[in-house]
Amino acid sequence: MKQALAIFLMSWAILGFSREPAQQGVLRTEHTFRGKVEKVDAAARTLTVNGENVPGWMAPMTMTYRVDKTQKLAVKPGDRIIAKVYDGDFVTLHDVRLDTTKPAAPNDLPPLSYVCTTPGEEGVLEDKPGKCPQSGLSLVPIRLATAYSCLKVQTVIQDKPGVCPVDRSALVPITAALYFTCRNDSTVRELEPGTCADGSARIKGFERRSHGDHNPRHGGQFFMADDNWHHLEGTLIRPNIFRVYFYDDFTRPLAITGFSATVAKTDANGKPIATPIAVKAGRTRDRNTLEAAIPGTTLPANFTFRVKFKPDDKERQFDFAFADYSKEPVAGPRPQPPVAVPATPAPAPAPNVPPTPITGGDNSTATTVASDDGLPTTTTELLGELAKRAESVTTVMQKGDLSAVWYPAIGAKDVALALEQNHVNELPEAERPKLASAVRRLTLAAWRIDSAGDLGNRELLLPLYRDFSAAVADIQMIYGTR
Amino acid sequence: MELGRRFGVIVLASAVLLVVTVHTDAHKPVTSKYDYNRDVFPLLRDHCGSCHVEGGPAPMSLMTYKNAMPWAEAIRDEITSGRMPPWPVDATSPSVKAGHAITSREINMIVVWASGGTPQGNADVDPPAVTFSPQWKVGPPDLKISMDAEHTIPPENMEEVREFSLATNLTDTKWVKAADLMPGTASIVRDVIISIENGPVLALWQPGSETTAAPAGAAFRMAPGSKIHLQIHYKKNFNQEQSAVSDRSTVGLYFTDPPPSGRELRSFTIDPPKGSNVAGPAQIVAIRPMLDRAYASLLIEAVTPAGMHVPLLALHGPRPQWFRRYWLQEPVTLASGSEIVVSVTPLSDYSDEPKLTPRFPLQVSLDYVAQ
Repeated sequence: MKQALAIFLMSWAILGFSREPAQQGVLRTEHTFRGKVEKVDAAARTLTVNGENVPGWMAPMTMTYRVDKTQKLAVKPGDRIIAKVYDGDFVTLHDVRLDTTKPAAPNDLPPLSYVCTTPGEEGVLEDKPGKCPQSGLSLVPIRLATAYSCLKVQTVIQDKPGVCPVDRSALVPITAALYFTCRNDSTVRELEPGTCADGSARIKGFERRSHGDHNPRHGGQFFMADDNWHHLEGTLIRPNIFRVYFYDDFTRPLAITGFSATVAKTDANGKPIATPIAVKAGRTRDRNTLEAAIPGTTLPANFTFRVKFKPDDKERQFDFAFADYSKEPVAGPRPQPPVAVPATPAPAPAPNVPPTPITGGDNSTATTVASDDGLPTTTTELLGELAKRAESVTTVMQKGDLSAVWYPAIGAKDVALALEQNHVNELPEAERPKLASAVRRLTLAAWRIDSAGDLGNRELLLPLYRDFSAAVADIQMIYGTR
Repeated sequence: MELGRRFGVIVLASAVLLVVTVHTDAHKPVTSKYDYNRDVFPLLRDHCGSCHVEGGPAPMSLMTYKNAMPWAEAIRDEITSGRMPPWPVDATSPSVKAGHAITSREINMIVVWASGGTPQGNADVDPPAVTFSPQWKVGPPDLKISMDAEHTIPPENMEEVREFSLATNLTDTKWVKAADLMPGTASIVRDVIISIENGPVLALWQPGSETTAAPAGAAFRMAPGSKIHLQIHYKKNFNQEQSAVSDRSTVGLYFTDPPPSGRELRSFTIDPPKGSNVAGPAQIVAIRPMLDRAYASLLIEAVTPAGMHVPLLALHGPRPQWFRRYWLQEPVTLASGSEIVVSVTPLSDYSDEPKLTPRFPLQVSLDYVAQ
């Protein structure tokens, strides 16, 4: 299922973000951009603008934009502007003009976005009213905002950073829908502040939004930091540029402000074979990249990327492997927005065929329910299937495709569960506890691999892979096939 | 998830959160074929319900969909790490009493649900209510002894370990087959070591754990005038932070006839990695591992003078905070000179483990009756 989602979302991502739509003659979606000018460079025809959130296009951030060539730069720092922007072009402002609407106060609300609430259409997100593509129901307005929540518990969501009262860890940013309710009547749910029936002011409420997908936008390898907020895509650009793109939990470009990082070439086992190189801000149009030239790079290439998101933050490690240079996706017709994964699990993966690289989902979203349906029924066939899927795990690990290893691992777990559930009685009684123990270890290891694979850290995955392999070997030993 | 499916608003008592409500509907696409009401609730009830119930020892109930759903990510993490449910006895271990292992299939069902959109199932039919009703688990005790006074954990403390001495006023010798505890305030009594003062450990009490009596023919001797010693580990939960919370627990003792042999239950302790030899022929009836940290596995076996390896206990993923006495289903008789060997394997990664203050060195105590 994760694979099916991955393929679908990848195609959507590829088609939606890959090229200048106008240049390709492809239908492009227009968005309205608002922001405050911070700097004007008339010679370069650029504006540095503190932009508001543009749902479906870009999160709120300050960055430098090109100005449409037909435009005169009749603006100055401090002006509020309004402009048109288009899907696929994150650096150009069209038809820039002064925003004569009421100046935004510090507490201005996020703009309205529009979503579907029908099952299967949760991924739809538009910035204008309309209809849901499948159900035909009207889109529902919401206000997307950045809120803060406990990493592992959803009982706390607030509008400022803080400490999780449950485990004392720092709250992590999340994308949420902001609404207004009443302290004494939680059924009230409005998009504007106001007054409750008892005369009290409405209070803010936040509703956690679904996590974005994990599909690469630039043909690279996609991982998620353990805060579930920072996402990154490593790419290798011909001939020797290592570039990492950053995104938020909605897979929107994320500014690299305050980031520091190094990259080091490694061997296939993750051991450094060169001195780490500092990576610097890239010149890509989204300004959400870090990159470094790495002379002498040959394929296949492996890199360990270490990054701090704040100067006082911990260093996080991501292990990238490239069998080939990254290729920007090819544009095509504008796709439909992503949709939910169907409730029925997809068929089991083909033996020895790793899933499409980079899979959708993570620990907190539509994820991971590989199939236990459609498995063979005999012990011999199941053991054969187990061997194939375990071998596939090994293959994917050896390739360094860490975000793909979950798929055969979860599949192997399903085979082991089927063996225990349906074929344990074929074993001598003394062997049955051994099978129960091995299947339990395999089950736990597979689910941990599913989590750790998203994080892209080989050091975390290796011991889980060893536990997994040992459990598989024990099962094979118990059944006498090893 | 449907917009119409609403969950309760929780307003926490912190100053910041007073102006912020929480809505737990996450609009996750549903991929799980297991739902809460039909599939997951029975598992959570059976494996977690003795603690994770409204008013119970755990800070959060998992006994309704509304209560459990926001904790799905934590549930997944606790289960897949092996920390929960806290029963680490491996299937290959010699059987122990009062076991309540969760099966691999049950683990998988819960994790699939937690990972796959946490569907509720048929919302029109709520699962049966589960209530917390503390009671003596093996019936009314023969002797109940309460702490002399309430003990209060002040607002500024989250955690304390306190020792208490309780007079029994016994005037003749008694033989104890079991001990239990009725916490005064269940939410803060994290664990208790119940001993005869300057004598044997009668019970290692944990919330939600079963109370098991010593096998027939084995009992702890309690002399006239003996006192009960309690080491109580208090720990407030996040809802009790900055509040004073008091407890006055009661110990229950269960007496039995003197063992036919006249021999009392004794114990000896070994400090791994150093082993220890059994001084005389002994029937091992129970084992008490106390851990300094979490381990991937802990194996305890005896090596007889003839060189035979006799497994005694195998734990997978034991945690130091969940210490207990494992009563062997089938006591093991060992010849004099048998060596007890303890093997531990550290976890490969401790970064996700809760940060606990170590309370014990790694030790294994074996309870036995001399033969």
